[in-house]
Formats: sequence, C-alpha cells, structure tokens
Amino acid sequence: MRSFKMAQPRSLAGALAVLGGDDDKVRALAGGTDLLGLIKDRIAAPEMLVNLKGIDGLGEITETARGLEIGALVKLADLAEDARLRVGWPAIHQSLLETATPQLRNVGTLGGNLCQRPRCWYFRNEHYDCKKKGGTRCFAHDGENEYHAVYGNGICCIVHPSNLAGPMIAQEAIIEVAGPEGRREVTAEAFFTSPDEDVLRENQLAPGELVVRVILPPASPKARSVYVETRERQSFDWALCGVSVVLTMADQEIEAARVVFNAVAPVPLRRHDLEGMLEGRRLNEATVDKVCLAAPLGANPLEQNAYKLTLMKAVLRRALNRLKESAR
Amino acid sequence: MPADRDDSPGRESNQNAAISRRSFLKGTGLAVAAAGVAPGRALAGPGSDQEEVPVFGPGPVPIRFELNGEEVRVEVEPATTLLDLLRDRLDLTGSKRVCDRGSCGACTVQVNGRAVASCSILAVDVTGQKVRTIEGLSSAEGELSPLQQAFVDHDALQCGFCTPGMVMSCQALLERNPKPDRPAIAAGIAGNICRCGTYQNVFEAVEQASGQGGGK
Repeated sequence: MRSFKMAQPRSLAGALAVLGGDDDKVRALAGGTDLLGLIKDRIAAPEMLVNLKGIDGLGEITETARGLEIGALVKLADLAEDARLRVGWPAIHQSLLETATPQLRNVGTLGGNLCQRPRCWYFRNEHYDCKKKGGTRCFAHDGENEYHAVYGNGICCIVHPSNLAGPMIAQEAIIEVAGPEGRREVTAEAFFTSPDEDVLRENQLAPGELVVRVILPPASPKARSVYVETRERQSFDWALCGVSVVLTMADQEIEAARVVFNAVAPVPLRRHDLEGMLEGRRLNEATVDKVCLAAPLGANPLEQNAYKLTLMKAVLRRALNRLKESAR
Repeated sequence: MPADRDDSPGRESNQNAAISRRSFLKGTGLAVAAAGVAPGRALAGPGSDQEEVPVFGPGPVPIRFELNGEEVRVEVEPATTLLDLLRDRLDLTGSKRVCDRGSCGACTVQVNGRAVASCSILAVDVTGQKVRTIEGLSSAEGELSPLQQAFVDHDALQCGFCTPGMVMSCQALLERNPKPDRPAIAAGIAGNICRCGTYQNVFEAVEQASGQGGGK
C-alpha cells in the first residue's frame, strides 16, 4: 500500500483542523475497511489520514428526547446488537444484519458505511478513467452493467453501496455533520446526492466535513417497518435489490407509507407514487398485488440488468407480506 | 464547530502547519519510545488553545500490543496492515493473504476477542490491544485446541488455505456464543470463503467443539 502519514487527534476540533479541505490529500480514517481498499486499488492516494478513533464521544449510542443518537464511530456490530434499535427501528436493524461480514462489522463504523464509495467495477479499477473519477465516460453504460442502476442512470450508473442508506431514509434519520463552518443537520433523504448534482461524490459532505452523529427520531407506536433484500449469495455479498417499508397504521388502514428501494439507483430511491397507492388503503392481498405491479414503473434498465425490475416486485411483495403477517 | 474554536485561525494555514511539521508521536495511546524522534507540534494556531494534533509517519513508528499472550514492540509504517506485520515482520504466516480486501476471511484474527480481517486494519490501530492469531490457539507444546482437533476429526478442510481464518472465526463465535445452532454458525462464518466447499464439515466441527453433536 502507498505510504501515508497519520494524524491522531483527540478532539473533533483537532480533527477538523487537520482535515482541511483537500480531500485528495487528507482523508478521514474511521474503520478503514473501505478506505484501505481504495488506497490499495489506487483509487485514493492520500498523503495523510486523520485517525478518528481516538476522539471521545463519537462512539456512543444514547437515548435522548430526540430519539436514538448514534455516534458516527459506533461499530456496525455494536449497533446491530443494540436492543433499542432492534425494537424501535426494525428496518435499520434488519439491514445491518445483512451488511458485510462479522469481520467487517466488527471494524466498520456507521459513518463509514454511509460514506463508503461505490462498488462499480469500472470505478474501482484504476485503468478506467470514468466520470466518477473525473473522466468523460461511463464505461458501464455500454459495458458490463449487470449490477448497475435501473433508475437515474443517465450520467453514471452506480448503485449506492450502503445497505443502511435506504432504511435511514425510510425511518427519517437525521445526519449531523461537522465541518470548518460549524455543525449542521441534514435529513438522510437530502444527504445522499445523485450524479446530476455532482458525479464525483455520493453525498453532500463538503471537503473537510465529517458525519459525526445519526439521530433516529422515535417511531410512531402505530408504525411497522421492515427491510428485505435479495442477493446472489447468502453469505457476504452486496444487495442486488432491497427495499425498506414503513407503514403507519390507523386501525386496518394505512395512514402513511414510506417506500425506499436500494441498489437500483445511484441514491436510495424513494417512491412517492407507491406510497400514495398504499395510503388510505387496507393492507390486504389486493393492495399488495396492485402496488407490487407498479414497483418497476419508470425504470430504464441497461442491457444486462432488467432482471432488477422483477426483483423490485419480489422484494416489495415480501416486505409487504411480512408487515401484513406481523399485523395479525 | 464547538464554541471554543471560534478564534481559530484560517484552517488553511493550520493544515499547512500540520503537513509541514516533522512526524512524531506523542501521548495518543501509541507507544512512544524511539530515541532520536524530535518532539514537535503538528498543529497549533497562534494564540489559540486548540489541540496540538500529533502526526507521525510515513516512516516507521513504534507500537506495542499483546500478541498471543506476549507483549510485542515493533516499528511499523502507518500504511502497514496488521496482516503484513504478522506475516512479513513477525513470521506468523498462519494468517493468509488472499483477497487483501476483507472479502475472503483467510486473514481472520481476533482483536480483543472479536474476529477481524487483519488485511483491512492498520497495524498502528492495534496499539494497546490483544491480538490472537491461529498460532495462539494451540499450546506451547503444540497440542491442538479442542476446536482445532474438531476440524481434524471432521475433515473440515481440504486444501487448507482458508482454514486458519475459518478456525479463528469459529473461535470468536464460540467465545460469544458457546452453543451456536446451525444458522448461528453459518452467520459466524459468513465472512469466510472455502472454495473446496467444506462448510458442512465445519458445522460439524464447531458442534463437536461446543459439546453438541457427539464427536466424530
């Protein structure tokens, strides 16, 4: 691996000061399971890493009046074992169990998971100067695009790699960001950005900014949530298609719905149209049939990935059926 | 930004200061020793009470950690992975370098009891921690651990290349869950690939080692 220096701040202020604003030269190191791969693959070549692991206060999970506040340095394995998360935010909990491997969850962090770079093989190969690396072409458009986006794929057809991103949007998470200008909060839905906003990044972090905390607002007692994904292998693999569904029920009727697909677009894909079809209806077989049929509406598959349209219908059906059964 | 930083000087000059300073290491939990390492400040805004951030590397820095029950002191570059330190410097070649990206599990070791892909963490990050490798499972006389013996008894390997990592994942699993059922074992080894396909035998070996399933 290419050599680099290491800064070891003990405070967030110290970390932000050393980070500066040049992403190419100085990068934050959390768990490192993605960043080290990028350096080994020569996609990133930082001169210095700023090790966040010595900073106090970023590795805790606390319950406050605002909900569950999770530090960015909390390890995925610890988060997956948190009983409050399991009970209160099931879609996020379930997606964690499907994330990576025990070895990577023991090291990888929440902030790192949300900020990981895409898995597109052209992006990860140093010999392809693709748009996401500042080049002029998307090689996947006319190339090997089996695992790529079926929505929003005009400029760059990555799919967002984070399993957690979709359920974070479905469960209305708020992401707290710190940077040279101070702290700010942004909804998970606004945090992830599409290639037409800036093809070079996958979220709205400015250079020198860090995710420091995720806040999960308390879910309504009438809400039920679920995450379902499908992949080629049952052990370590990325999702081919996943969906997070949150339904707020009033008696037998769906009062409010949130439906977010992952692994089908460069950002988690929220589907207001499907939510509208669910709201005001009973959660019965007719509703499920109707909504699932509409799941792939608006998709624009590439040569090798039209199968994802079928998967969208399948994961949505599984998700809704699971919620239907849990209602009994 | 916390209020106590409102007097901070321009961050650009801070950053330049950080980058141009001599590398050194101080008081961060990393073992410091090394005669000849000149002390210096990595970052200090004039007139500010801001933290001085130590910067070290890219050359070797001294670290100290516990490896298979014994203290190790060694100098490594910040860019050295734990796996490369173990294999290339400490002659512990049980942990295998296969994908080098955390995907295959052949490099699995325990850090503070947890299974970790040693290719995907930096050696400097195990400072002060307890690392156990496959070499640390058997006794000093070479007697196999019950789990290792169970792998032998159940033929839970063919070519053997994934085996050290597979055993370490199972060891970490058993320490957290002494009586895992099959789904729990499958989840525990989800990060270990065996291309000979001996998973079934691994299940049986773990069941024997955990006192379930009645031996050979």
